[in-house]
Amino acid sequence: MDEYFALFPFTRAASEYVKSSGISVEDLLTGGGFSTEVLTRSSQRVKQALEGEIGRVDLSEDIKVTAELFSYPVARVMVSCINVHFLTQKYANGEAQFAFQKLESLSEDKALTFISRLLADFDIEATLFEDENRYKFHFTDFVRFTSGLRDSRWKLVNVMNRGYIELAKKEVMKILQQAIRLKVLNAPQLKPSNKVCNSLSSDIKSIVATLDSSMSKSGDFGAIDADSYPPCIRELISLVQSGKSLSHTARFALTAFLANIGMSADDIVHFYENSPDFDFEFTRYQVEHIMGSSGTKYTSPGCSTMETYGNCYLKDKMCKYVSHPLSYYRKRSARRKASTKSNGNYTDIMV
Amino acid sequence: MQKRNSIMNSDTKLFLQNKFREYYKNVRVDLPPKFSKREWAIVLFDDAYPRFIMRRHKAFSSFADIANYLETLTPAHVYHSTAYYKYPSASKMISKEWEAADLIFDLDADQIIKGDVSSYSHMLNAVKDETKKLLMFLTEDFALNEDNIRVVFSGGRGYHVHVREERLTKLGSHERREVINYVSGSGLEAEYIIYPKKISEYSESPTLWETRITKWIERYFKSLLEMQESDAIGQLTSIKDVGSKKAKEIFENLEEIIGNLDGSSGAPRLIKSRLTTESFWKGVVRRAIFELKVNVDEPVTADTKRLIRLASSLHGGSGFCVAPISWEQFDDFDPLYDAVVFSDEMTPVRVLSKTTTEIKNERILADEKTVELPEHTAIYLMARGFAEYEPQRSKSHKK
Repeated sequence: MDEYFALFPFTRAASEYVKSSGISVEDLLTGGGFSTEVLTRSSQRVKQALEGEIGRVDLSEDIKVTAELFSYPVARVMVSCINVHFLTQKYANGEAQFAFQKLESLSEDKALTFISRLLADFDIEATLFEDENRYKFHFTDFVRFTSGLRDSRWKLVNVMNRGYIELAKKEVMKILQQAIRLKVLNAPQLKPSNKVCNSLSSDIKSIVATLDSSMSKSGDFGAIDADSYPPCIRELISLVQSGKSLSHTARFALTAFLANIGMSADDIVHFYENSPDFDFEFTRYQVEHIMGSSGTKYTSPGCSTMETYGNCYLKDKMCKYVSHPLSYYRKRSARRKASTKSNGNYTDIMV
Repeated sequence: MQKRNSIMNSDTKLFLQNKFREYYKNVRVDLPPKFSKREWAIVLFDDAYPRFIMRRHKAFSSFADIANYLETLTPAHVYHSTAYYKYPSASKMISKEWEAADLIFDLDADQIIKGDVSSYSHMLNAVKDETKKLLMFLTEDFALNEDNIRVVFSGGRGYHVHVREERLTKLGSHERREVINYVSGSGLEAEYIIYPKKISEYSESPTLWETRITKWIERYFKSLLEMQESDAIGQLTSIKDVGSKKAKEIFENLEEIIGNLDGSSGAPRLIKSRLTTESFWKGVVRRAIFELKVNVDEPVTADTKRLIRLASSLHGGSGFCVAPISWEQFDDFDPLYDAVVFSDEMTPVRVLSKTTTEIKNERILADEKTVELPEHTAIYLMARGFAEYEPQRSKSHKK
C-alpha cells in the first residue's frame, strides 16, 4: 500500500482507498487480529491528541501500514460517538500537528512529493519555484486556510503581491496543517449508529476518562464555580444554550465575564456552539480578541452598562450589594466556599 | 436639516409609479449573471410606501419573466442577492443552499465623508474618487480582470462594485474580511516597511502597499520642503509622538532626510537615525496608510448573502437610475447627468420645504409653493419626500 495513505489518512485519496478496499468500520469491530491492532491504535490516536501529541508508530511491515490507515476513520468515529466539541477540536489539532511533524521528518524529495499531493488533495493551486524551496499561492487559496490565523505574516495586507503570495516550504506546511485541522474538525459529520458506538464502548470509556482528566487539568477550568454566576450571566448562558442568538453587547459581556474568571478560550467557545449562527473559527477569533490577543484585555461590563443595554436580568438580593457581575461572582463564590466545599466539577458548565 | 415627508399622497405615488412603468417598458434591464440562481426582492409603491415593506424570496427563470414582473408590478426598489443559491426562492435562508456569491463593495458617502460637505455633487465626487482607489487596488494588487468587475452608481449616495471572478465567488465571510483588511490597510505591519528584510523569506520584491507607502512618504517630505516653516511644523506635529520641538528639528533637516530616503533607484528606504527613529517612522507609515486606504462598508463586503440593487433599475428614493458604468466611461461619469432618465418636460409639484437641486446642470431653487419643474427634478423631489404631485394646478396652468 502507498505509504502516503497511512501518513495522511484524512485525505480524499486515502478515504477513496479505504472505500475501495471494501472494509468498513463495522467489519473492523467484529474482525480478528487486524482489527485489534486498528482499535488499539485508534483510541491511542485520540488519547494522545488529548494529552499532547500523537506519537509515531512503526510502519516497517505492510500490515502495520494498513492498520495505521484504518485507525484514522475508526478514531474519527470514536470522536463522533462522544460528540464533545472540546474533544473534536483537540483531536483535530492533534492530527494536524502530527501530520506536520511527519512532513518535517521526511526526506527532502519525499516531502516535496507529498506536499504536492496534499496540495492537490485540498484543491490548492500552487506553483513550486525552480529552487524547490518556495511556492506561489493565489490569494484565494491562501485566505481559505489563513483567515483564522492572527499573526501578521498571514495577513494579505503584509504579504500579497499582485494577487499572489510567495511562501517558503515551511509556511506551506503550516498552511497544510491548518487545512488538515479544518478537514478533521469538519469531517462530513459522521453520524455513527448507536450500534457502532456501543460496540466501541470500552474504547470510548477509556477515552472519556482521559477527556475528564484532561479537562480538569486544562487551565483554571476546575476552579470555575458555576453556581456563583450572577443571574444575568446565568440568563445569557441559558439563552445561548437554548439556541438564541445574542446581541453583540450580550455576547461581549458573557465572553468577557467568563474570560475574566479564568475560563480558557476553547471552553468559552463551547458555550456558543448552540447559537444559530455559530461559526467555530469566527467565535474563537472573537473570544481571543476579547481575551486580549490584540493587546487589550477587556473587563466585563459593570451592572450599569449591563442595564443600559438590556442585559441585566433577574436581579436578586445580592445584586443590591454589588455594582459589577464580577464582584457578585467573587462574593458569592467566597461565601459558598465558606459554607460548603465547592465542587468545581466541569459538568456544571457542560450542560 | 430639510423637512422630509414621511408619508406620500396617492397622486404622487401613482404619478411616480406610472413614470417608473414607462421606464421599465422601454428599457431592457441589465441582468446579473446566473440570475435564475439568485433571490430577488422588491419594494412596491403600496399603501405603506414610503415605509419599506420588502417582498423577498422571488426567483425567476427567464429574462421575459423578470421584465414582465417589473413592468406589471412596477416596484419602487429592486434588489437581487449577491449569492447564488440552489433554491433561491426557499423562504428560509438555510434551505436556499448557498453555492457562491459575488464579492461586492459598497462605497457610500456615510463611510467616506467626515464632516460637512457643500453639495450633493461634491459628495458624489468624493465617493467617486474613493471608488477609483478601490478599482486600482482590485486590478493592480489583486490582479483581477477588469472584465469581471462591474461598477454601478447606487442611485443614491455612492457606488457599488460587483466582482464576479469565478474563484472569488466561493470565499466565505472571514476570507472576504481579509480582502477588506487589505484595501483598508488594516493589520499592515509598519515594521515590515521599516525593516523590509523581515519578510524577505516570503518575497524578494516589495509589495504594492510597501511601494505606495514609501513613495507617499517621499512625496510628503518633499511637499514639506515647499511649505512655510509654521505650516510644515503644523503638518509634522499631527504625526503621532511628534512635538513641536522635534517637528522643528525635522524641518531643519528635511533635505538630509529626503536624501536618505532616495527613491531614485526604486523604492525609497526608511533609514533610522537620531531624528527619524523607529517610532517616528511608524507614525509616518500610519499616516500614509490613512491617506492611501479605501473606506468601504465592511459588513456589506463580508456578508455573503446580501441583497443589492439591480443595475439599470430605478432607485425609488431618488428616481435616478442605478446606472451601470463601463470602465471607459467611469472617469467622465456624472451621476447628476448620466443617471438621469426622466425628461425635462415641465411637471407641476407642490414643494414641501425649501430645496436646491442641480440636475443636468440646471440649478433650481424651489420655494415652499406650487411650481412647475423639469420632470427629472420633480421626480427627484417627490421620490425624496420633498414635494407632492399637484395635477389640478397643471390643468389651470396649461390654459
